[in-house]
Amino acid sequence: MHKKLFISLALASLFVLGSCKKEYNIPQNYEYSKDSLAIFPDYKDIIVPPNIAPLNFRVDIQAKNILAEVCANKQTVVIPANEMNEIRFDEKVWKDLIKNEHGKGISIHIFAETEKGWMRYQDFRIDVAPEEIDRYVSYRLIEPGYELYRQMGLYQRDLECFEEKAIYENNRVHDLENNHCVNCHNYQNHSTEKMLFHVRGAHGGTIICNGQKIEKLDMKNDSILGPSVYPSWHPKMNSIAFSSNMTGQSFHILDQEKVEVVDGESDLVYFNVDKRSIKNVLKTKTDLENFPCWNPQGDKLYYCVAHVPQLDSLNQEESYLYFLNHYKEIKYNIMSLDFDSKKESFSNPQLVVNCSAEGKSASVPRISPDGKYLLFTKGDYGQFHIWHKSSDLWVKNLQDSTTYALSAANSKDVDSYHCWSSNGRWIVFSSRRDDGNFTRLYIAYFDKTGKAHKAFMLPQESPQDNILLLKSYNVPELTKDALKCDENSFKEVIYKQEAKRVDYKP
Amino acid sequence: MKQNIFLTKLLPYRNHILYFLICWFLLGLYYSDVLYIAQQNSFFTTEGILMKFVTDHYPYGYLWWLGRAALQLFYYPVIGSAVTALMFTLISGLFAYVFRLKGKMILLQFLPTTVWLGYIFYQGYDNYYQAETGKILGIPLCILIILVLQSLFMRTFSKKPILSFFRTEENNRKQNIWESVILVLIPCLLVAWNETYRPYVRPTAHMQKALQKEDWEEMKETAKECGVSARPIAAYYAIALLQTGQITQSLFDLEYNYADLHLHDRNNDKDFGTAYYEADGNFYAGLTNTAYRNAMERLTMDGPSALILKILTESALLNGETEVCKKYLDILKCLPFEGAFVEHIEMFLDDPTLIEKNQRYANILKLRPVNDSFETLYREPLFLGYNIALLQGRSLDALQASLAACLYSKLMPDFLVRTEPLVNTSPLPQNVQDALIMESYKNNRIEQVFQFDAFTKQKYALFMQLAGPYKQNREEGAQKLKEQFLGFYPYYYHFGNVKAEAAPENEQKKQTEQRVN
Repeated sequence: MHKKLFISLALASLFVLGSCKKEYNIPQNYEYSKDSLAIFPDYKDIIVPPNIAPLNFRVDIQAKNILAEVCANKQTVVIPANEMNEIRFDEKVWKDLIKNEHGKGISIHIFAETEKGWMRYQDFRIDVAPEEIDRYVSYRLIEPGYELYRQMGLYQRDLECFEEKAIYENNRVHDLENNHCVNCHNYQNHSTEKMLFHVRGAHGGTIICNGQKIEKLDMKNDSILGPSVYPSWHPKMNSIAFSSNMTGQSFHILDQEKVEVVDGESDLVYFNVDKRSIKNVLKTKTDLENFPCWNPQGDKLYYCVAHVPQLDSLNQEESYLYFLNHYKEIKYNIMSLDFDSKKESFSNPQLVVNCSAEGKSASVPRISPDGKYLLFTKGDYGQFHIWHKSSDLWVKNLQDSTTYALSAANSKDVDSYHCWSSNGRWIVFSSRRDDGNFTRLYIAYFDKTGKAHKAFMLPQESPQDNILLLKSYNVPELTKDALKCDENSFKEVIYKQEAKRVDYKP
Repeated sequence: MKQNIFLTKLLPYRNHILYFLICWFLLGLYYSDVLYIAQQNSFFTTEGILMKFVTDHYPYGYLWWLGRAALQLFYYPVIGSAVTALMFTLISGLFAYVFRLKGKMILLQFLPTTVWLGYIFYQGYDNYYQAETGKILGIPLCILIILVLQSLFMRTFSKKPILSFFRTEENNRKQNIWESVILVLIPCLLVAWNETYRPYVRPTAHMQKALQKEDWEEMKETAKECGVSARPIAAYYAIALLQTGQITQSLFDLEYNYADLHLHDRNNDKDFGTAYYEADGNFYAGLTNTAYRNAMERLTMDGPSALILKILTESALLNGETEVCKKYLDILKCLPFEGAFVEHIEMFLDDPTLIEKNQRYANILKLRPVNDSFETLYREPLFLGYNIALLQGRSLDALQASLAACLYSKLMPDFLVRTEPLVNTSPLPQNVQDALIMESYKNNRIEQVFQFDAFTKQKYALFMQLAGPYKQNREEGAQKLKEQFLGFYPYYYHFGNVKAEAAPENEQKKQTEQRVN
C-alpha cells in the first residue's frame, strides 16, 4: 500500500516538474555595450503586420548565454537563446506580444554573457502596423541555377505560422519520360479561386484552376510567337494577358552577375478562358513587349517594352549575336493600353515610365490595389532583373506622376519581382541582399503616404534554415485564402490529361 | 603461451577472419581512394532541411540516408573499410545461419557480399558519378538488418547458436585448405578483373585525392605510371601541370588515345565523362564563374556533396563573393568531416590578402579572364575552348595555357599566332619547341626567329622517317612509336587523340530536355 502510494507520488512529482517551464530573468548586473549586435535575419527597427508569424532570429555573438527581453505595452517576456544562439518565440506568446501593439510596437533588449560578464546591447524595436498582410504567399522553390532543373515545386506558405504546403511538386526522381518544370503561377485578385501555372517539358501545358475545376491547355498556336509566359489575370473578367517570349540565357565568364537572360522576341497575347480563345495584343518584331499587368479596374493593361529596330533586318542567329554584344543597350520602358472589356480590344498605347531616357530599364509593373501607385523594378539594362545587382524597387505615383526609389526597402544587391497585398499596404518581393546568389522573400510596409519602410525577411521557425536552404524563392504572390485544390488533383490533370488546344481568334 | 591460447581460440573462426582481412585489404588499401571519392560525392548530415531531397523525395530515401551515413566513414578509409569488412563478415555468417549452409556449400555464405564487391568494382565511376551513393553501403546494411532479424527469429526455436555458423567446420582438412585458397583466390580475381577492365578508376580517384592535398607531383606521377589513357586522368594531369608551370613542358608525356570508359549518366546513357572533371578543369583554368556554374548544375541535378560545395566555396572566394562563400561554409560545417576545410577557407575570409599569397590560388588568379564575355562564344569544355580563343591574357601563364590548348587541339595556325611573345626567348618550353620544329618544315621563316636545339631537330627527322609507314595505320603507329616518342609533340600530333579528330567538336552532351523557362 505504502509502496504504491510512494510510486504514485514520485510519478506525479516527475510529471509536475516536467511540465513546469523554467522562468528566466534578466541579469541583475550588466554593462551597456556601445556595440550594435548583429542578428540574423535583420529584424531591427522594422514594421510588421499584426498577423505575421514569430520573427525568430539568431544572435551573432560568441557568448555563454544569451537572453532576449521582449517588452510590449503590458507584457514582458524573457526568452533564452538555444544552443545555436537562436531566439525562438512561442507562437502564442508572440501573438500576445504583438496583439494590440499597433503604433506602439515591441522593444527587444539583448543580454549576452561574455568573458567580461553580462553585456546589454543596443535595443531595437519591432513596430506593428494596423493593417494585416494577406495570409498566404505562394512561390516557387528552385536552385538559383542556370539551365537545368530537378526537384522543384510551387508552395504556399501561411504567413501567420510556419506552415508551408506544396501546391505542386514535379517528379522527384529523374526520369526522361516525366521530367518537367513548373513556373509562372498567378492568381486573380489575391484569391485562389482562379489560378494558373505553366508546365514545361514532359506533360507540358498551362494549368488553369477555376474553383475546383482544373484543366490543362495548350496555348501554342501558329499565329502566336511562342509559349505563353508571364501572366496577368484580369481583375474582373475570366481572361488573362500573357507575354509570349523566345528567351535565351547566356553565361558570363567573368561578370559577377553571371547570367544574362534575353528575349530574342516577345509579344503580348490575350486569352479568354471561357471561350478558350487567344489572340495577339501586340505582335511586332522590333518591339519586345513583356510583363503585362492589369490595373484594378481592368480597363488598362500595363506592360514593358524595349525598342530594338535592328531586329528587323537580322535573322535568328544574327539576332542572338546582336544581343550578346549589345545586351547593355536593351532598355525597357513601361507603357499602357486602354482596354474595352465589351469588345475585348486594346488601344491608345501611352508611355507611362520612360526609363530608357535616363539610361535605365524597367520590368514587372504592378499597380497597387487602390490604383494610385505603379510599382516596378528598375535596373541598368535588360528585363530579367533577378540577375542584375543594380535592380531596385521603384514606384510611380499615378496621380502626381512623381517617381521615386523605395530606398528604405531596397538594398545594394538584387531587389526584384514584387507583389502587392490586397490592401495595398504590404509589398513582398525577391531579394538577393543576403549573399548575392540565393533569393529570399522580403516584406516591406508601404504606408498611406506612399513611403516604403525597411524590409524584413520572411520568418522561418529556424533562422538557420534561411542559410541552409539551397533553393531560391521565385515569384511571390500574396493571396487571402489557401488553395483549395490539392496536389494530387493537379498531378492527375498534368500526368493524365491531354492538353486542350486553344483557338486563335483575332 | 597466452598468445597460443589466443590463436587457438581464433582458429575455429579462421575463414571469417580471413574474409574480414581480405575485405579490409580490398576496401581499405586497394580501393580506398575510390571509396574516399565516393564519400566526397555523398552528402550526409543530420540537418533535415539539407537531406530532404533524399529522405522525403527519393524512394527508400531513409535507407539511402543510412547508406550515406555509413559511407562517411570512408573519409578515413582504414576505418570505413574495417567497419564495412565487419559488416560483410557478419552478413556472411548470418547468411550461413539462416540458410543452414554446411559441408561443401559452406563457402556460399560469402557469395552475396563477394558479388556485391564485384558489383562495386564493376560500377567503377558509376558508383558515384550522377548516382545514388547511398546504395554502396545502404543495400548491404539493409541485407544485414534483415539477416539479423531473421537470425534472431530463428534462434528462438533453434538449438543452434548463431555464433556456431561463424566457426569453420573441422571435419575435412583438405576441404578446409581449399576453402582458404578459394577465399584468397576470389579477391585476386576481382583485382585482376578490375585492373583489366576498369584500370582508370583507381588512378583517377587517387589523383583527385592528391588534388585535395595539393600534391601535384603525386598527380603527375600517377598519371604517367598508371599506363591508362582516360579523359579524367588527362584533365587532372593538366591541372597538376598548370599548377607547377609545366603545361607546355610535359603535357604530351601522356598518351591521349582514350580508352572507352564504363561511365553512365543519370539517364543510364553512356557518358564521355566531361562533367566528371569539368568543374575542376574550369576552376584551375581560372574560369571561376564557369566552375561555379558547373558545380551549381551538378548540385541541381544530383543534390549537394562535399566536392561540389568545395568548388562552390572556392569559386565564390576567388570571385570575391564572401557572403555566399560563408553560406557554403555554414553548410559544410553540417557535414561530419569538413571542419579542416572550413577553417582553411575562413582564414582567407578573415584576411583576403592571403588569397594572393596562397600559391594555388595565385596560379588560378593569373589565368582569370581579363575581359568579360559569354561562354556560348567558345567551344566546350570551356577550359579548352576559352584558351584556344584567348588573345589577351593576364599573365605569361595564361599564354602558356593558351598555347597548350592549341597544341592539344592541334590548331597549328592558332598556336603559331600565339608564339610571337616567345620570339627571342630561350629556352623554349619543350612542347612548344617540338611543335615549332614540326611547323618549320612547312614554313622556314619559323626557324629564322626561333632558336632550336640540334637534338630536337634530329629527333624530329628521325620521327618523320619512322612514322612514314604508319600514315595509313595510325593506331599501329601509336603503339609502335610510343616507347621512343611519347612526350614528343609531333608524335601526339600524328598519332595522339585520333578519335577526337573524327568526333563532333562539342563532346559534352547538352541536357536539352531540362532547360528552365
